[in-house]
Amino acid sequence: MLAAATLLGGPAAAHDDPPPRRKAALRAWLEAGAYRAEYTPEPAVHPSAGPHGASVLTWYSPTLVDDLRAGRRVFSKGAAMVKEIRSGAAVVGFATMRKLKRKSGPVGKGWLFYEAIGGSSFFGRGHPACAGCHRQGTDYLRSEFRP
Amino acid sequence: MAEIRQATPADREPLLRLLLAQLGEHDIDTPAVAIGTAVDGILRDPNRGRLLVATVGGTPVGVAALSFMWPIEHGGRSAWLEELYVEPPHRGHGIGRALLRAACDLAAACGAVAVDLEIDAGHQRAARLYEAEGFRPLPRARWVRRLKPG
Repeated sequence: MLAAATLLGGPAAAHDDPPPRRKAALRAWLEAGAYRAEYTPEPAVHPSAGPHGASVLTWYSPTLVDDLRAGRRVFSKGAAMVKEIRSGAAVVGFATMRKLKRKSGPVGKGWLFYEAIGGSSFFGRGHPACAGCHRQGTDYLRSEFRP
Repeated sequence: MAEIRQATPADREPLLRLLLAQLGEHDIDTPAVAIGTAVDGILRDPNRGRLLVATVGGTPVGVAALSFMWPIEHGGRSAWLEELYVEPPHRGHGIGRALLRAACDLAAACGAVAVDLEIDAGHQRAARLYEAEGFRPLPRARWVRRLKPG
């Protein structure tokens, strides 16, 4: 029983848990910088290639890193990324996406999208404000960072 | 079939072309450099507004530009739909309506409680579109005074 509990609480389970699925919890998780403990960041802040403001720094979840390193073009359930939206050195917002289902679907309902910057806040599965751009990427991933 | 998405910095040049055409159709002579500054300002800071592009076969053919405000009249954040434009060869296929709906959805997602816009007096085609999409005219006229030379 102890072994089973240990396995359930091991790295694989940890990878599948965050980011939280509920909006308030997700925002708190992002603002606390909880992703930084396990996620892999890009080498440096850079200009955003999307509608996410002037400069960004993207972090990939362990599941997404594993998928990319294995050359997968369809990512595993639980794959996630966090994009810090920066103004100078300050983090002024976040954009994040988490894969909820193995299949992304034609309009991205397999992904939970969230963006919060200033008064703007998008949240939802396949949110059209996000999915319209992201469906042009690799399984909805637009970032070209490859760890 | 047209696709509607938020604009990215890669869309800057097509956006400028579409916005110049839009302003030109309405005899507004804002210099291209000023339009570029405004577009760059929105792309850099999404709190200022949002830009949507409509593409056909990957080519941008339409644009919608939202600018955010905080008017007392609406009791909070609202959006000014400043531009809605579709290139003439692509009109009549529902692209303008799709852009309008996407712009309203995006404004709502950004926390706006209302969308304001203006149309040229006598622009019946635009008036019919906006009325059909739930807008209503206000018995007012827009005035402006520049504070710095344009």
